[in-house]
Amino acid sequence: MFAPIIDIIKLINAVIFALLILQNASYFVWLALAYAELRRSVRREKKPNLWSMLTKDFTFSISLLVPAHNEETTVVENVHSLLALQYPDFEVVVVNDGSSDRTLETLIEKFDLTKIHRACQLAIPHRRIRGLYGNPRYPRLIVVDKENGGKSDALNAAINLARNPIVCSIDADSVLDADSLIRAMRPFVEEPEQMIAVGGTVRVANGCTVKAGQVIQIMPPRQMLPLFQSVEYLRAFLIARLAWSRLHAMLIISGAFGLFKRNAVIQAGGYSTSTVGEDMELVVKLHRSMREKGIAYQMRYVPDPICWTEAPDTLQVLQRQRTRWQRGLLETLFKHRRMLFNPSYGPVGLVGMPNFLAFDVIGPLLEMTGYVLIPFCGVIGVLSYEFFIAYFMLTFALGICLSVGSLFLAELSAHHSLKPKDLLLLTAGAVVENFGYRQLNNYWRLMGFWQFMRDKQGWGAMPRAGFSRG
Amino acid sequence: MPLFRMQILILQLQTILFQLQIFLLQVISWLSFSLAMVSLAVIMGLIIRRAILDHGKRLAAERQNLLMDRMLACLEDPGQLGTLKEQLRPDDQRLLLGLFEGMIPNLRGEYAQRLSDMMRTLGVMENQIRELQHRKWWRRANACKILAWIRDPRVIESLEKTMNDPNGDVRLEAATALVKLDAVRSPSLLLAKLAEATLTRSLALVDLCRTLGPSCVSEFIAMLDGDFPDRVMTLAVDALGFSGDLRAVEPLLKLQQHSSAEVRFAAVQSLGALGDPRALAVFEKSLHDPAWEVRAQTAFWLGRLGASEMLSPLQDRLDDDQWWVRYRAAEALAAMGNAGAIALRGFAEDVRPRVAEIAQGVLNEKGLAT
Repeated sequence: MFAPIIDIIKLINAVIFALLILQNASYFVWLALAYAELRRSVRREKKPNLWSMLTKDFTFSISLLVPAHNEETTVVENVHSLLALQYPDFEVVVVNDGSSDRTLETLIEKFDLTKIHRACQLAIPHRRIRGLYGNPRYPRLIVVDKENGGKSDALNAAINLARNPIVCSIDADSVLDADSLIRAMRPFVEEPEQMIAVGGTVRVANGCTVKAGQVIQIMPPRQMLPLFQSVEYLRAFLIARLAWSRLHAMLIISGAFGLFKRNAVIQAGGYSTSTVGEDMELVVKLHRSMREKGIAYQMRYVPDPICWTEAPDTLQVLQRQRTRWQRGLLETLFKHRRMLFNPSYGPVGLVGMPNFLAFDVIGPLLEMTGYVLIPFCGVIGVLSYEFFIAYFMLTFALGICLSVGSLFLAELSAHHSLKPKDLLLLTAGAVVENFGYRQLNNYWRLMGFWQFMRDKQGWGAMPRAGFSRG
Repeated sequence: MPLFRMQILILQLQTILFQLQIFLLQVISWLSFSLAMVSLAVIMGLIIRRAILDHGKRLAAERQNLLMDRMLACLEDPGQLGTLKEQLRPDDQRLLLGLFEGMIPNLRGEYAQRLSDMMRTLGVMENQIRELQHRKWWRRANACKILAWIRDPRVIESLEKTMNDPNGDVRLEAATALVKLDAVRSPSLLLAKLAEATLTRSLALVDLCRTLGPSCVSEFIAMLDGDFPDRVMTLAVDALGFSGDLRAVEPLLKLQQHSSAEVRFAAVQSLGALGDPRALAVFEKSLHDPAWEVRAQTAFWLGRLGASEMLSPLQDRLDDDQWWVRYRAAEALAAMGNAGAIALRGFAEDVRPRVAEIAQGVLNEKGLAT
């Protein structure tokens, strides 16, 4: 009587197991690709001529786009930090996106701003701009006050107002390394015509010492949750993005630090205001737009320009962030489902998007099912002891192996080399995160999936504790 | 009987498959476990390596400080060079190189010459010439960069040979070094060696040609009549614009009819940078160029040149289809003093919405609105 049920359970187990093998095999391919790309990147870094040239006047000018919503406590210091970046020609466009706190007033007071005018190309629609502010003493700074429309809307307004060919989106609560713009600009200098987007690395700043808007001492976080996220960020950036960049199938450039050719963004229609994953959606849209128009283009991830961000240190805030990311991913995949498995979109349609679908949408669901189903089957005697052990080894031992692999890449990139004891701490984090944190993350992904199905909107509050100041 | 045999065979097969499955599962388990252990062992090795490297770096920094003191003393008194040479250890070459790279860009005149001579005496030059044969391209490229500071016939000869290097980046670096040493015999030959797609697109080559420009104006002018790819032609046009040499004006004027928008754009930019009034007649036509980038660039330069006789053609561009052309035209008018401002105020009342909008926008932006 139970035979058909047992057969179905066995089949589900086999599917879970097969996907896990496929997933891990893919991860190892990525690790190898990431290693090759990192080596190439380190060699590119050695090109001596480029470095001196990047400090000259004729490189592309950049407009830094900084959307700010209720950031009154940190915005002034962050703007000071941005104005102090090393780059020949850039402007900082801060957009106060209808803050309900004193973000705008604080900026006006601290930078002694007055109302100014700037002719603006209305290339992308956005909510009404209430006013522009500037001060001749800070010629690189322009503050935009607009009605609240969300991060994407603020970025669209900033793109319209930007006067430079390259725009760079930056989170108002992030800190850039002083030379990050120069480093990120390298691909544009090498391929000025085809390069349309470049992503940099985002790393967790919890535990680091920040002074005068610069990270002056790098330390891994001492708290468990941010420590796990540190390892996770290294894995995401140094394995996944490097590998995808190598395959020309990069689908995410972090909203915290990404450079784009302004014209390309405008042609693609700017940031979408109907998704919470606007950074991923823009990159997918750029791929789509370029492919459909038949324009040759490139996007690249560069590991050394570093943007430091404060990782959530409470479960509640982290949960909100992760469910939002998952919703953003699903919204993007759904919106651009036409690209999935479609050879007209090249590696993005054939490899990049199916990968996200398999490992970031279906993967967590099957993994969580496996956590429940496989031990249960082991207990009732449906599965062999060997199957049970193999499943957990694939999940945990290879999980550790991949996390440690990202630390290996981090050590090889050596732009910000860590002290031995810090590397040891991260290694411990890479091992421990597999037991509890990983499962929690999968659970949040499922929550995100559920919220997507129920069409939930919005970001949710993301309170920050602030960097540890030197 | 055959049925019974068949059943036994199937059973045996099932047993084998089951055993194979168990074996595979065990292999997967052990493989996963081993990989995890190996990765942990590797990272432990890296941690130890990092500790050793950090210690080595501290020692190297101490030694480098000592060498720097001695090098500075030798710069003041070249007579001490012999003593320094005797005290050098075999592994000091790398430190010397680092010190040389750090110091040479900051030195001028006699001191720069003394430092170059010092590097020659201490064997750095010879080492770097040998390094040009290294199998790693970045080592060869770096050697070019260092040799760019040492004026010596052997260096120039070696760099010229390096212009045949299979790696484009090395050739580019060798070319930059030759330009720096003022030892380029023919810019067209140099560009021919660099004319591969990835290199000609790079802004690094633009930089090189601009540096080369003032000393090779005649050669670049001659290139404009040659049969070169558009990208190489653009490089020559750009270099001429930044040469500051008015001999380039006439040949650049002829390029207004060129088939490539990229070349026409560069020609407008170069003529604007040269600032010669002969360019105005051509600029008037360029304001109607089919490529909007050329029209916008022309309007931009007219504003920079403050050519008030171009008020009327610029006013026509206020109704261009492209926002950037309209903006640059309005900006140029605003830069032309009172006459331009009055014209803009008039257009701010225009019935055509996009004309009125851009005129009003620029008036507000420049603080010229009444």
